Amino acid sequence: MNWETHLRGLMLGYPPLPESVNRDYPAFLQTTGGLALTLLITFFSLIFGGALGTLLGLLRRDAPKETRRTLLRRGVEGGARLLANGFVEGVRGLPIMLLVLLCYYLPYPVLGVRIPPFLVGIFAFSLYTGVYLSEIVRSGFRSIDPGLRYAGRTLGLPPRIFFFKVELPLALRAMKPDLINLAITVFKDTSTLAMVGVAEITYIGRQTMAAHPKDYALVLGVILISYWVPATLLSLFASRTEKARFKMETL
Amino acid sequence: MKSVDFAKYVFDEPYLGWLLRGVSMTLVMAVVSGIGAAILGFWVLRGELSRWRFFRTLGGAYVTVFRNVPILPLLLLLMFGVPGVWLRWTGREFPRDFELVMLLVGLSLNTGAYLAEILRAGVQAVSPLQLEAGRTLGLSPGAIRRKIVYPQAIRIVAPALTSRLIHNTKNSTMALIVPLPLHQLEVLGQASRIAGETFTWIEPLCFAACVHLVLALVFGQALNRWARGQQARVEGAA
Repeated sequence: MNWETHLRGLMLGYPPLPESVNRDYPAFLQTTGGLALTLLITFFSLIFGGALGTLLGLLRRDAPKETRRTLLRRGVEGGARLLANGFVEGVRGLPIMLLVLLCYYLPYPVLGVRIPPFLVGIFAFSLYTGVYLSEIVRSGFRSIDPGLRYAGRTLGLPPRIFFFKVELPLALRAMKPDLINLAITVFKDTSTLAMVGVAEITYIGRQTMAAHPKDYALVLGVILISYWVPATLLSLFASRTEKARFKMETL
Repeated sequence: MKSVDFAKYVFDEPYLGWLLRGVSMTLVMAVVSGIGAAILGFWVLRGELSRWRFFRTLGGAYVTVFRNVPILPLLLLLMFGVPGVWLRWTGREFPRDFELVMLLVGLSLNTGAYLAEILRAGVQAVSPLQLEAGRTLGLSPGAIRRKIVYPQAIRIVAPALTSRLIHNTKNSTMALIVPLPLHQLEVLGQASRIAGETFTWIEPLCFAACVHLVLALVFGQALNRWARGQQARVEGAA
């Protein structure tokens, strides 16, 4: 029972040999592993996916009907919405495991480039986050009372000021619980990356169990707890903000 | 750059046979684990709404535990942990060929927790006045639940239920981590088996992707129709 080694491996990973670290990519992503890498991948996916999701969500937003637009602008907006909708529906219909495998196995035969697994992970989960986030963004903006738009125009607010000072803060407040839940889902689903050799905690746990079958109970316990504790804490936080949102709506 | 050859790697024997068998296994897994999850979720819901504190705590604990654990580690627990504990307690090896059962149990445990949570939201959204009306008419508590509460609750949360069951179908791809025998692999498992033999991933993966897109569409339509039928039952009775 060398539980200290196991625990260290599960939390921080087993560092690779210095000569096997690829200098073209950030070293800290290659030398960390375990729960630390899980958290890193979650963090980067949420950042990149956040940008993608906001963009997709704004593209997919229903156009305000009463504004007058030129035919060209309507055409461009409609086309962009169609494209974004197709992309979102396509990616949402795929199981995350399949998305991860596609991102891992397609780049080499199609583009002829080899992408290191941790970047594949960040890419796949950015897509995943972005697509689900676009749905949240859309419904967040839909929850805003259309009367506010008239009020803003009556007060003479320029559209940009109205968007940043009125619409965005309200929509963000409405989206908060869903955003936290999405973060939990992404955090949990990064375990799928164990199937493509990203050294995150599930992968390390599987390898450790294969090498030391006697210590299975310890390894499984540590894996389950290190997913369960952060996810539960965040979901408690989400349900608290949900109650706050409910209060806001009933006021 | 390699040319894509669907005719050779997907629509030719023996690969087409493997993939079709995989599709049928995916369907079986989706339906069986979906039904298992529905039964499990229903009983957890009854526990959460129970008068006894013990059952409420049990139901709540189940939901918090299984909702916040990802499915792959859960499957690892079922694959390694359960046989290990079995060996220690009984002193005998865990029976073989139980991988499929364990996989279905894992999927049902995960989805059951979500379904219980969704159904609870639905039950709480049914107006309390309806319960009073039922009691005034002299209906038994069981009849109130069966005839008034559940059909409306299901209708209210139908979109969430549907999307969770579709999610369950997609989760069957997590079987990739389970060492299933070859004839029990689901579609992605068969795809990766082809990839292992032919060293080509594009064609089988695209096939699996198409299968899942179509399944999501078909299951979504079927489940939505079923949810609407539930509401028709309430209106017909009124």
